Amino acid sequence: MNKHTVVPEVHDIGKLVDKDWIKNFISQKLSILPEKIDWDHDFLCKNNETEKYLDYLRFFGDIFNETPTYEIIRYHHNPPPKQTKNIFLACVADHMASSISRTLTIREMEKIRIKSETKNLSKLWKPSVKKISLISSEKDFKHLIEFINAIQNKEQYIQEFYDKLLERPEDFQPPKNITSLLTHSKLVGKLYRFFEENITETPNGFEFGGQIRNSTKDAEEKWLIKIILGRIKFSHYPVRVKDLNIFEILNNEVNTFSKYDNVILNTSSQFLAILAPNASVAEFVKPFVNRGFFVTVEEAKTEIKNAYLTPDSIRKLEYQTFEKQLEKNRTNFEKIPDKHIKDKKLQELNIKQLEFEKRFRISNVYGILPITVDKLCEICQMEYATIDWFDEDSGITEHICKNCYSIRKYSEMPIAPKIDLWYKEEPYSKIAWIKINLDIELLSITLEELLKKYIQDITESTKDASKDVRLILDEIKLRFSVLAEFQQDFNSFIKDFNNKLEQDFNKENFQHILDDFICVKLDKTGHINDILDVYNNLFTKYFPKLKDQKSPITFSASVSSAKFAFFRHWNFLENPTDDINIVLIGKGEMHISLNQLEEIMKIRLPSSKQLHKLAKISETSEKLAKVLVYDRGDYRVYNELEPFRGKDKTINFKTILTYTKMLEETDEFP
Amino acid sequence: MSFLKFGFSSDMLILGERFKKGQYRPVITTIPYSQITGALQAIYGNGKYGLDAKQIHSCGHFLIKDEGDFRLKHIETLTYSPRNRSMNSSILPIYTEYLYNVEGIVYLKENEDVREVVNETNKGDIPLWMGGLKSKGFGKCKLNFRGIINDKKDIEVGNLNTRLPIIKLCSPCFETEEEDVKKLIEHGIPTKFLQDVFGIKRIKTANFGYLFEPTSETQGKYVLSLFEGSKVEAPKFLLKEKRDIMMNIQTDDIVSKVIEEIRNNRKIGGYFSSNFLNSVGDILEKEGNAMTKTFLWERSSRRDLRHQAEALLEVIKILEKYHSIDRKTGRFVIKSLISILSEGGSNK
Repeated sequence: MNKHTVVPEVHDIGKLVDKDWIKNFISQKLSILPEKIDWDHDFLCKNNETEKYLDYLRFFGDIFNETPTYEIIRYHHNPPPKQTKNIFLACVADHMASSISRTLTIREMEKIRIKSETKNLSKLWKPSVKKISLISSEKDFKHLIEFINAIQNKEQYIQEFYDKLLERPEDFQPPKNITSLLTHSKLVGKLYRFFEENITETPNGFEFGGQIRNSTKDAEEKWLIKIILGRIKFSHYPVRVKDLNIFEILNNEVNTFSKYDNVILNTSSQFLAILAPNASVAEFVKPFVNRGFFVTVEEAKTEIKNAYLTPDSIRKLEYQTFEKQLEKNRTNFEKIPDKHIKDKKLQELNIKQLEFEKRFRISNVYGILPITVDKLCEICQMEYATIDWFDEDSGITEHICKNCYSIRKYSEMPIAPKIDLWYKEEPYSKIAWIKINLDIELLSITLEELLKKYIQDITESTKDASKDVRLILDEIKLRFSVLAEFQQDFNSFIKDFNNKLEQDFNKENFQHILDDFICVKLDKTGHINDILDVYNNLFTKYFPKLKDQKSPITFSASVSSAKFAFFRHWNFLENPTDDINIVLIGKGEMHISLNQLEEIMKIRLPSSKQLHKLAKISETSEKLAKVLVYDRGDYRVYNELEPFRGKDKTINFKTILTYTKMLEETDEFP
Repeated sequence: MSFLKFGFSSDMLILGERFKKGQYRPVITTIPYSQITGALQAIYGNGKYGLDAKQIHSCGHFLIKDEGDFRLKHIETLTYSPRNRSMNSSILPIYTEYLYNVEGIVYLKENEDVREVVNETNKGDIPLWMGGLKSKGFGKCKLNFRGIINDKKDIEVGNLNTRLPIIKLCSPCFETEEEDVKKLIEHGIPTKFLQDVFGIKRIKTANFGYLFEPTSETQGKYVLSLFEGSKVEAPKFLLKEKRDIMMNIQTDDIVSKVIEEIRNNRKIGGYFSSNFLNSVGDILEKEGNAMTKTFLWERSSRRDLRHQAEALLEVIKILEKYHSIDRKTGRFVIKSLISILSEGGSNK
């Protein structure tokens, strides 16, 4: 490895030092009062009074080598007038990777009083109470200098300081303390490398997307960038266990994709990424399209400074101003007496509107789409069927395309061998397909709302704040790093959920397909209740603040016999409508919020006889089932069904009935 | 641009996808251009294919307020084992989903070639056959004329509610170059066929798939098509209605209808004895409607039971109207009459 390798992740390493400790240390050594010492994470130390820099490194017997990495640490906040490419890139990346769009200026701080600095990371969905341990000894500080001088790659940095990076907020000053230094550093590294690949140094400045700029501020205001939210889908109808290989392909492709520097966040089937303004989206998603997937891409082309969370949030924000201007112009042009000029002006306006819409496109990117096909693939129905697949067991021949064939042939070992085994043992054994979805769009809306609440909590003047103050606070928007921070917790949540289910249901009854997509063999459908309990507990542990609103994380379970066609489950699992979604194939569906789930789980259940009766009647008519719940004809029945009465005011009665059917055990599933 | 609007209904219908695993055939939940146009072409076309076929263009959709609910209530599976006559044995069974008791709307482009259909509308319902397994009794449908819509000005952006091919292979008047298809895929500019026949102005996000178009009596091709869910700027009738508008279009719960009728019938009310209701319910379950009515006529001669018996005869009358309600359910309705008439079981 080249000794001059830049490791941009390290730019904020100085934040790992306990500022109070180092100030006291220097104070003792130089006999200056600590409050007169101004030490910053770029390792520069100044005497406030004399404005002179203090040489304190000699006390540690070491100095910083002038490596490009040190250059970034030293100058990323105060770049010299003639910037090198490294510093320029680090500044742009650092700004883009901050948790919020702007910080308060000193003048603004006079108007808005922020409650005292916290020493904790305060995630918007879960405030932390962990005590942070920072570098606060001579020995550790000395080691830090040596580390900076010797660092070769990001892995070294993350491995060495993982716990500290995870606990330390990007900034102690609220509301910037909502992301960890780990997330911020990783993101700066990614963005740095993305720009490094796309920026060219010219004699007049730095060129990106056809525009040359030489100051960071100018670049942020003028350079355009594409933000894309992609959802990877497939047209296949997986029917055989071998067809489930499509998930293994998806998993492998997503794993490779997630390592790209411009991919900010990803789940098993979604991603948020940035592209240079002239880069082709179709080219970018080609790895998926070549494998037979199609990708729904939402894109927004905007200035770097406006690169907020998702394309939709950017569009909404920009559309407000654009629409106002558009309407104003339209009204003015309508008043023009000369018809010719009026028409011309209105036409110009329409073109402007079209151009605006072009900046915010939603499209489906497919592979090759032939206009006509003679023989269509039976599985995906999108390609020529060129291969005959002969199944020895049934003697059936299927006509499939090369993509579907490659899926079946992808791996000798099928991705879900246990499902095959369950089916062979007992075709009617009950299984639950479970998918946890993260809606990135809704996540961005939810986080924005949580930020507003957080700002309200930490500022003391918001309630009776003047219009100015409120405008300043409204201007604060979230940026990508919050999403990246969320992904970290989301991944841990999924991991814990899978581990707990595997432990509770035993290995032989648990089939992992994707991290957020599993299949569980059930003895009784009632065991779904246990799964819901695990989910609810973990959700409360990881995302307590998301429970009070519609959650961007959703749980979907589809229950049937092992024999039932998988693609029907997938239709349901892919489109969740509420926090908790359960379908019992052929019996009913329930869609409820997490709070309603807690409510419904508290219901004292009647005897299985009454439960069965209610479930059976509801299959004929929901209304009649409701009549039974309120019928006083038989006092024993009336008493037993008491817990259900009144519940339909908060929970849909249909949901109660599906829940009843879920707990009631007799019938087999289709 | 005018379209004839028809109410659509069918008791049993297979609008299928291709067979999966050689055995399982799922159904779709919309009425694609290829199916309904083919069905109308079979009756009102001139029996010819290709260039000589008449210009009949139609599409439609089912009345669905909730996809999951629709699937639960209107989709069943039939297991069918075709017989290999040459081998004199049954081959592997096939499972086919079918739609039952479905209602929908069909739109037919008004032009000279559909004059005959227009004439037929005056005679009442138009019967037609559509979809798969017609030889086994599936696919009988009815079209019921509802009026003419002219949606030239009523253009909106929304999600397509049906499936439309982007080109028509056998119509020279809609000739399409490869370049036009490229324009559609890359820039959302509709082909001549989509513009001229269905008045589609722009395709914002396309969901693609393939529909079959016969080119002769024995042959055909799959044609690139726009599928439901595509975001388009098009006449309103082609778009998915907003959820709240769809809420009252179809009630699937027959017993719910019975309960509503009982509540709205002024002759049913007053005091009911639980014992008497239990007895009547039991007779209904064991002996059926005729015997129950005889029992109630006899009891109505008794002064103390006359009012209850006459009211229950009204209930039986309502139950009789709905053939799909079995005796067991009828018994339960009668036994729960007090609750049905009281507030507890109502929607309040």
